[in-house]
Amino acid sequence: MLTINRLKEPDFKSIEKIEYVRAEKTSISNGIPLYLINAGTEGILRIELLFNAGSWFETAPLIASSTNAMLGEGTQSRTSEMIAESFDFYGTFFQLHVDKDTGSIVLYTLSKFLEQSLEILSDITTNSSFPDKEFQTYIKKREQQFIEDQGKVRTLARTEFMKIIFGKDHPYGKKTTIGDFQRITKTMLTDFYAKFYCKQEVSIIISGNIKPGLDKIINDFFGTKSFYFSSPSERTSGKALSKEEPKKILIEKENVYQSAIRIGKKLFNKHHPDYMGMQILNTILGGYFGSRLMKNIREEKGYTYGIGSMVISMHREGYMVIASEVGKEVCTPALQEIYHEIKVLRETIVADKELSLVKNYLLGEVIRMFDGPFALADSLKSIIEYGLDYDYYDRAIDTIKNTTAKQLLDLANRHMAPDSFSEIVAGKY
Amino acid sequence: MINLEKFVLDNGLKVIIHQDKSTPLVALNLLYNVGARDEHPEKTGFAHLFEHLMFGGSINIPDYDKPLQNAGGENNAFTNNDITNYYLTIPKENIETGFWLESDRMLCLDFSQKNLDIQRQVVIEEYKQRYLNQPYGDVWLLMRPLTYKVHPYQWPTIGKDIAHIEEAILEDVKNFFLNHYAPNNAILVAAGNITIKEVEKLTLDWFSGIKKRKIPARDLPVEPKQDTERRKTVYRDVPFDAIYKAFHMCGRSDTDFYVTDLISDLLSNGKSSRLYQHLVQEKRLFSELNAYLTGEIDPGLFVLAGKLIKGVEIEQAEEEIIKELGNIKNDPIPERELDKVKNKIESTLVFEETNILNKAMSLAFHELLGDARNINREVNKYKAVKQTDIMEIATNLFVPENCSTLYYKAEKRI
Repeated sequence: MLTINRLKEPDFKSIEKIEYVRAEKTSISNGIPLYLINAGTEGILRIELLFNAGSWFETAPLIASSTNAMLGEGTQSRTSEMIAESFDFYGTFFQLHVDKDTGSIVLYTLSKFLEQSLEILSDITTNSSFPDKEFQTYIKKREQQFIEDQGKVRTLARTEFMKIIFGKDHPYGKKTTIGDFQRITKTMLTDFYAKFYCKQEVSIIISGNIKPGLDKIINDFFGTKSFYFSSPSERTSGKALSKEEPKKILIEKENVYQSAIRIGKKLFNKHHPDYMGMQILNTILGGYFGSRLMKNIREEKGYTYGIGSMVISMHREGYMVIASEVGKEVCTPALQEIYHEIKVLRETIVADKELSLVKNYLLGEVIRMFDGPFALADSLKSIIEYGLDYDYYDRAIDTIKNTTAKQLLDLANRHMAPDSFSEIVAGKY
Repeated sequence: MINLEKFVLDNGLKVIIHQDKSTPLVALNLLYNVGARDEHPEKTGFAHLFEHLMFGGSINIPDYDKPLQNAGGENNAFTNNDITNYYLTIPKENIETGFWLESDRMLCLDFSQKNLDIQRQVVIEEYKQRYLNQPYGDVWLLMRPLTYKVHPYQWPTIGKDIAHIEEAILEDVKNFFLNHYAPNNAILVAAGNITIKEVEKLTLDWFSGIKKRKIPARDLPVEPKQDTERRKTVYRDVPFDAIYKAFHMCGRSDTDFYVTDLISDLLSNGKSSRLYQHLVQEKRLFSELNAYLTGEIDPGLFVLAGKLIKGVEIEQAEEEIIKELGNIKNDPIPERELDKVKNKIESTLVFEETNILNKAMSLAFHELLGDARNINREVNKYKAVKQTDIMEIATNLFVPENCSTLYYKAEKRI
């Protein structure tokens, strides 16, 4: 022992091959696609029902999210309390998620209580009743949360940013207002439920310790329901996309300690050939702890507790955003430094050392994306909702390994022109 | 059931290994037995500030993050009132990089004035972001000094006052390191796709050369029993009134902890819980209402925190909370309801076992409490709780003299 040399980094291996458990895809008797991911050692299962029921499909704000949140608040034969009590008694975790494009129901259950949990889940997917009292309670709570969030600079900046880049009438950009809480009715929810949950195409993703016969059990609960299968073109058509010019906006707020910043632009989604390259470029800029924005604005200047950037894919669009909350007295220099880092990306080629570090870090992230049954399910979900297959990940890994500094410089020049970015500040300069 | 092996190095470092071959990763968790409770009352926020400094380079390695990221790793840390905990995950082939990095910053930090100046600023921005610039953000800046008069739990991890952070000097930093960061004051857990043999070799190589340090004995003042009800009202620029009630309870290692934890679950774990069903759903007094334990090692707090529906009088809302607490004291919990909260705990513990990082953190914490193997005994401790235990603990816990209440009211605007 004691042959160690602390000054020298231990040898490490670059990640060559990434192996992970892939889902087995089948379908049950009515045609619903069923994905089974057999991973993990504990006797537990995660079951997700994924619907095309995001806010894209709603006719007024709050409808998609309220419909989703009210699943589990009562069916024709079960009260809200009965549903909650049963799930809690079985130790089953019942979660609801909604975003711009999808709505989903997720159950985490012990395998031994699978059938009891599925019975309730099945009831919820077709017989939800949206009882008045629960509806009123939910809307009141949600309204108070909305009012509270309006006191946060980050909420003000985020919602304004989405409005500016997509347009005030675009489903991705539309803002909720206080009046929407008065206008929403129970009928809007039941209509949305009938259209986008009861009859819509659904995918079922199950991950965990999968025993033979599980597909038969799923078939018993869901195989007889009649679902309508829409064509991909039906799913993506319908809404005109409004065009907005880049803007700089200050939303003034008194008595703040920090201002929230959002700088970004509309981009594209996973289907675009430059998407993965932009993910790499984004990582360099602000996508990990060692990123340039973190180094410059936090670790050298101390202007913020955190700054990051993201390239986000949605079903019909995508965007890039840089986000931070900074001391209001250093807001102006922080903005200057952000633009400086964008400029550097466009003018100076990324050094080999930095690029290889980012590639190694990203390959480590890919391994973490496939670690364990729940991570595997999330990774599957984020391809199937785009109609993509696992070869998407193979290509992504190739792109990470093979992208050159020259290609990144080129991407920065094509997609990151400073005059194409919008800038929102909420708070004070 | 979480398998584990333990050993101790000659320098006092406790090492725990949990093997899980189902993952391509290894999690490394290094817990230092130091938290905000170990701070000087005039230099609060220091344990947490120090956590930031631990990423500013060590004696032989100028940058902690770069080599880790280069090896495909990811890391973070947290500080609370009891501990400072550092963790990373990394592909199993590259785990030695983790041992190299963690051992070097245990050996000695690179004390740099520049790093201190920057991280002071970063922590001040964190203070603003989390505590000052959010609605209700300063609640625990108010509640801690109300509930603790003597014990250092009277200040939050971020510190009593920004001034304490602003005034930190390099000398303080060095002393803090030497007094608290040492192999004999730490617990190392390796969890994931790694064997005991590998861990033995790596710890021997990288950690055994670090000398034991003299750690001042912890001698914290004991919080005297509260014997009078405490109340405070503040007005803030928030949209809705909120109420916070805190009762002194036992410490984390006490068997009563499990009973008390189940009481909080009966009250507010899940939508079928009493507070949610009765006061949020039926009576519509609160938009949200939670019961939880601070879960600290020394005697902690049983907390009720609720935001009121607009128009509800805060006194009435409080009265209804007290009624619910009275029901727990006076009426035996129905069998099925008690089984329900026990089942939920059991299931929660099983789900937590699916993640190597969770397991690594829990093992380190249980070792600090006494023995990492107790992680596998938790379920039975909860299962052993009886109806009568619940009534007995609740009767002692929920008395006005043991309670501190904060009315956090919306400023009346003209």
